[in-house]
Amino acid sequence: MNALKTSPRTWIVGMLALALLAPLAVMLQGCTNLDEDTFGVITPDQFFRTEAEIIAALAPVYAQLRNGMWGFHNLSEHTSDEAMVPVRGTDWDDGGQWRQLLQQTWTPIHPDVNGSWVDAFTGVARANVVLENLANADVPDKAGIEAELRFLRAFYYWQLMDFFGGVPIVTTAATDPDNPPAQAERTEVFDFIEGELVAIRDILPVASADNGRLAGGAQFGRATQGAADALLAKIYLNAEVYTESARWQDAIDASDRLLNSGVYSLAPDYFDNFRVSNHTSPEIIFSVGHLAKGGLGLSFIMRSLHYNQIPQTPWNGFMTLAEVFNSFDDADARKNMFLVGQMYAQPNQGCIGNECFSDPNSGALEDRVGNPLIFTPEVFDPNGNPVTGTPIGVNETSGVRVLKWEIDPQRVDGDNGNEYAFFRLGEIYLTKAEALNELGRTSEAIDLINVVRERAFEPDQPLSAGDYNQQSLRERILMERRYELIWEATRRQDQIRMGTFTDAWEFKAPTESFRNLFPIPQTQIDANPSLTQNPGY
Amino acid sequence: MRSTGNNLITKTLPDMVVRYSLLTVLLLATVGLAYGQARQITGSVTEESTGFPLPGVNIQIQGTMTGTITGIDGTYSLQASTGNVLVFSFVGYVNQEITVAGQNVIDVALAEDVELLEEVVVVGYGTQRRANVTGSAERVVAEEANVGLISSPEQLIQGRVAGVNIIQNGGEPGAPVTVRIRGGTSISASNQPLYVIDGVPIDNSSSSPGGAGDADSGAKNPLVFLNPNDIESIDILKDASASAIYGSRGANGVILITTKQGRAGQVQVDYDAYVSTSSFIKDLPLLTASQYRAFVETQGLPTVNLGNADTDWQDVITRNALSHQHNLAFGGGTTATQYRASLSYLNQEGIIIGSALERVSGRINVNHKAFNDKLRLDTRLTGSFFNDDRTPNPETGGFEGGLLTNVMKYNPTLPVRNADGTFYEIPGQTSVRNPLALVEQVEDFNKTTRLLGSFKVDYEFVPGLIGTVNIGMDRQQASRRVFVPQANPLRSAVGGEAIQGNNELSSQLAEIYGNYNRTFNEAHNVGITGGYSFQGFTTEGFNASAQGFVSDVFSYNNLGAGTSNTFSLGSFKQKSRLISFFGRLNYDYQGRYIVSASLRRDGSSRFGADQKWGIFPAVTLGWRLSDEGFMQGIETINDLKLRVGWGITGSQEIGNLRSLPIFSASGSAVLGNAEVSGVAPTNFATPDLKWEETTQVNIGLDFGLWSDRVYGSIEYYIKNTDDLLLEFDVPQPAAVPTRLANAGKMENTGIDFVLNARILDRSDLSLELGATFNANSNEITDLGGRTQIFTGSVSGAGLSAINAQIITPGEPFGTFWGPTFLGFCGVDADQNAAACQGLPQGSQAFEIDADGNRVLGIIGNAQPDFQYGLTANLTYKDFDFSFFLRGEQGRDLLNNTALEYTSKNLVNTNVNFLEEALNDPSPLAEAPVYSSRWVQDASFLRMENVTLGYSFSNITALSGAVGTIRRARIYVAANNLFILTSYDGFDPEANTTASSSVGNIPILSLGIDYTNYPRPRTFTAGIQLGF
Repeated sequence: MNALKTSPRTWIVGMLALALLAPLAVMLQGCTNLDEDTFGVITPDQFFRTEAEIIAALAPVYAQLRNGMWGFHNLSEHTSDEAMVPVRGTDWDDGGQWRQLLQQTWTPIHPDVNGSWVDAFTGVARANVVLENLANADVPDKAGIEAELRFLRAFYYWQLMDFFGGVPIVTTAATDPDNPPAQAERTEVFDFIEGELVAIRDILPVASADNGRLAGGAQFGRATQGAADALLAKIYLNAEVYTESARWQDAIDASDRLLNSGVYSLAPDYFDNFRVSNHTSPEIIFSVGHLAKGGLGLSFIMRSLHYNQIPQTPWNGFMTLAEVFNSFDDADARKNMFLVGQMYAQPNQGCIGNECFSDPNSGALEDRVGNPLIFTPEVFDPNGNPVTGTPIGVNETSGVRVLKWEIDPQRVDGDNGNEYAFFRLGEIYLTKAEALNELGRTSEAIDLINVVRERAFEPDQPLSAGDYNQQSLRERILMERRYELIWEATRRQDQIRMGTFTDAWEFKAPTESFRNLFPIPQTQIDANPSLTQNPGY
Repeated sequence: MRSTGNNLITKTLPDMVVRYSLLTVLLLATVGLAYGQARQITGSVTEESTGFPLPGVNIQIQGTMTGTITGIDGTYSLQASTGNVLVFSFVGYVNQEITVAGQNVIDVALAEDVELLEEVVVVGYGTQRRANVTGSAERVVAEEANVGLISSPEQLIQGRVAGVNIIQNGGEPGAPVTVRIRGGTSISASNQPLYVIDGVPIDNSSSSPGGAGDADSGAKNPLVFLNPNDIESIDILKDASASAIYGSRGANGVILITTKQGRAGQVQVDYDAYVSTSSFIKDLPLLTASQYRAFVETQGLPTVNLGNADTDWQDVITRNALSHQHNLAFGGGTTATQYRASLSYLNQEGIIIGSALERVSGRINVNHKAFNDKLRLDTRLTGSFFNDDRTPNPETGGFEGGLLTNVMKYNPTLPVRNADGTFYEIPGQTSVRNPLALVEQVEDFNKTTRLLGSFKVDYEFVPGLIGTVNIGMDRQQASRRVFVPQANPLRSAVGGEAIQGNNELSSQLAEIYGNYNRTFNEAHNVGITGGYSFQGFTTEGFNASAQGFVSDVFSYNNLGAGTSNTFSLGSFKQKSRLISFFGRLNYDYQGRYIVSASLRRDGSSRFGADQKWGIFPAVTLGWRLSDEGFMQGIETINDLKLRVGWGITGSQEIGNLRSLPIFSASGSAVLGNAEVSGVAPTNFATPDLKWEETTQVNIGLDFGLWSDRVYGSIEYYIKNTDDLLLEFDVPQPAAVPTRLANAGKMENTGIDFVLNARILDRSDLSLELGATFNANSNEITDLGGRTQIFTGSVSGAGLSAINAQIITPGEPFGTFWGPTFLGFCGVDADQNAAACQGLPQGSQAFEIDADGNRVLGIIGNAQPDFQYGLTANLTYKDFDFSFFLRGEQGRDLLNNTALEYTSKNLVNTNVNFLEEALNDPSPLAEAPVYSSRWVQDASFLRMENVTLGYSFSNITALSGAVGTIRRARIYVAANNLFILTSYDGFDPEANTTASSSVGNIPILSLGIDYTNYPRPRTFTAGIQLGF
């Protein structure tokens, strides 16, 4: 009613104002779309078209191998008798997680247990995503890439089967949280891995001795026929653990394919496999590549070295046990990987083991409190008393350090450019030897062991066939594997296969056999209620 | 008279001369023609409180169209006849009516309409009479706000509003402020309220680019850009019935900030300035050099690391910090046009050397009315430039830590400098760093420019119907420059590190809405609001870093001089949009029965494809009991209002791109001995992802007693948050291991109580007391099937992978979880007890189970049982005195600093420790263990502020000397004067960021104190002048 009384001028001005709003309204009309803008990221429909894009999607499948350098490596080593992290002063208590590994008291919430599960399964899932999208991509060697992805998926499933037993087998990309996949039996996982490897082996490229992996060419770090054979040898070697049925002859056959391939040979120097230049080693069959670049490097030297040894302030954590150090023959060249005794300053150049920190003229190093930096095989508290029972209250110089991988002079912070070999020919000799011995061919086995020993001893100290029967050679093989493969993530498996994993050793009481498997991580059971926890947990 | 006026004006504002002269001439001519027979009345209009002339006052003869306005000197003249009633009216003043009798001169003094100012509160998209507010909204006006060294707006209201808990996270200049309105509503998204400045909702995320990791300092408060002196009032919408008009952003409450506007009248110039000195309030009792030396010697430890110095490292890095601020503002205008402009400069030093904040901020607010006041234009623009000088003191510390960690650690027997003046560093060690060298050598600057502007057009189509268009823009640009020279152990191993980063955050707002207010039959008051809003946000940035410099001289000015394999580059861009329709209906019958309802429909680009739109309704009812007949006999109660409200609000702070399947540059591999860049899935598609939703019920009672000598309110609320965003592990295998989903539930219930009393109210003596009280109880009621989530990462060497807090159904957020400390074996715990079996005498004993494992359980809670504030304002003649006490009771804090540094074992690593460890019977070799021992009662009572001021009443005497002075006040203030608490650390209100993370989002923590930058004690002296 009031409106009728309003003067025409008011309405004119009002209309004018509205007219001015019109352009604004038009501007806003363009903004009623609530779809999200994506900048700097990719949606699936924009990807998987070219070969370069497929390679870019393949890289993250490989990248999970690098992640395994923490969780996978810790669970493989610190649970065994050849590595530990004592509580040093105020460092490394970390809620007891290292103690749990050492004394085999881990629980389903241990961070590395969940970490390993996620690392490996993420690799599986990433492989599935690329496999599913590969069909529509314009890629010349589609079959080769597919075989490579299936190898990687099998490799991750091997880690999962080895750690956790039965896990869900999934080969499709879709994930529905409301319909989680069912758990397969451990033997089913074994069959799946074996079937995949057999199916793809011949499609994978053969590593070539000239322009392939040896020259650091494009194949280096990627899956080859050799990698498939090495993984087959690995699962056959442990088949009795995985499936309760031994596959020794298959292990021998797979090993032979590698030994007779003409592609691989033992590196003349054992340490060639661990140097920054190890991509030129003819011995490495399958490795994960690293570069001296932030986030792409190997950080092993940081874990073991004392804070004051290199400027990057290493963590002074990981060590091997006195018994392990003492078990090495002094004449064994491989013993040089250990740092023990007084440490001296080290110029920034590449070196391995006791090549480093050994020049008295460079000045003796001290620990943080001013004591001489002397690494001792035995473990002491700050007052010099031996620590027994549980390694807590340990001083910072206790423990022999393992410097098996060369210090990279080009390292960026803790990132070193050494490759890390999952499989190398040295192990294949011992694998075949063990399988031969299990089949009663003990003296053939000793010959193979001696090939590996020959490289480590000058003069040569071969084992003599007359000294061993099948059982004693079994024990010997476990020792030989330690000498050759220490800190290469085989120890837990070897001890389980040989039945010593739950035995007592320094700082560890006997444990029950259910510890041969890790628990399914609690967060994963929460996410997928169809998973059944492993017995004992 | 005319010529006098002209002379005065010519000197100051020549353009106004013309305007006033013309206007007056025109009006006089009109009046002269129409009322030639009446006689000339002259006079002047002044402001009652100051006696100042008021220009632009409207004088109208009642019942006619005849009138005039006063000139710049406040004088007027018009033709009127005896018996005419002259109505003097002016915005912001009480109208006066004077009947013309025999007089020819009528002088009038207009009183400021204080009630008018107080009675209107700002609600979303309009204002409301305070008397009719039925939601939970509180207003703090500038005069009632906190004073002293205040750099950001939230500090103005800290402790002033019941149920609004404001914690300054640290004492660093520009440190962030944690604001919780009636408890938190989220455990992984934001708990911060929505800030709306002059009608523009702002993006309150930090624009600062990242720093140098372990040499970074904590986050910064983005609101620092706003000069507190420009703020007229802050309205806090606490409950859903008030904040639902902000829909998907209202769940944590809304803080509406209104800046000062000019007022019609003579130009007023105000100059406020203060100077402050701040100091360390408390030293932590670390061993002195002689204590440390004695301890090393008595333990028979190597003495080679002992120096001859006696260094108090806390003393070395702290200072008495000097800060000063200057504000210059002028404003004025006519009834049609008013303006206010201000310029301020703040220079705030931190009490730790090398930390500082400098801000230059300018603001112009102009409004204009035209077409018979039907059209109203309002534009506001603020530009702010601030520089942060940051200290290398990261909030969380692992092994090496930052500045304060090294202050704790550094051996007190070692000198600050070598004989040649260079910094002393422990030879061969990089893990412990000379604290002074850290602050002196690490350069870290952040420069921010922020522009916030709005332009609003109101048009009154018919009386009561106002259409509004509001356009707003906000843009902040921040650039970070960091250099850690290789001279410092922090980056000596990598040859120094330099970082440059630039971020730009911007938003655009466009709103069209209408308000219609009408009264029917003088009893039914109806108000309707409806409108549309669009807001878009863009965030983009670029950063680069390099290491390996040949020389420190390159600094951050030549990143290319670094070593190429260390180069790191990054850039990003994100956009989000909100589209909303909203409406509100207010109705009241004679102010006695009040109904209000609002509805907002929000669409957000952040929500999943299936959940783009949400609806957020609210309803409130009010009943003014004091207007009822049955209350009339009760003299004591002059006002009594009961109100009940219900509403639903949301929180859309879920981040961008969380619902889409996204592949990012991630997972590079080394293949063929070269890096191959990877692209991997990084976000799990969740098309049903949506806001967190909070339903709140509020019941309140407002009261005024003895003619408002005592007034206040009491409120009870229940806040239920549903669809809490949680990151869930995806059943494996999954290319993205976790996904975001709406699952959990949380509940807050509580009471807000406000009481104010004017105890004395005489002209030369007045005393007002005020109290606020809040008790909030928080409970996580559901975690979507999960039983527990851990957070509160414990910091310190050997304390990795330990979480101090548990989030579990049935318990409040901020619950501490860990072993129970029983005492020391052989001292206060039985050496033969199971807990001490196998442990050396003096070891810490913890509750253990049958297997010998430590029993983990609930050992405290970080949320207070209740919090309170007490204010007193006393004026006596020209003096004013006020104080403000604030406290919280029944809250726990994890003293992570003491946990790490109460360990004698540290001496074995050449690291200092707290004196308390000397008295502690634990053996030398014992490592620190997180337990209930370190979850300490942190209840406190803080004397937040004490102010004494003196206002010069004899203004005219002063005026002679320095021109025309309108007001003059000097004051001294003390902030954080004392704090009563049993807590041992620097400050019981510390809140170190100690989030854990599941997948991509952090799980928030609360109540952890780790080497926090301490809050200083500050003394301020200031002057306020008005011309």
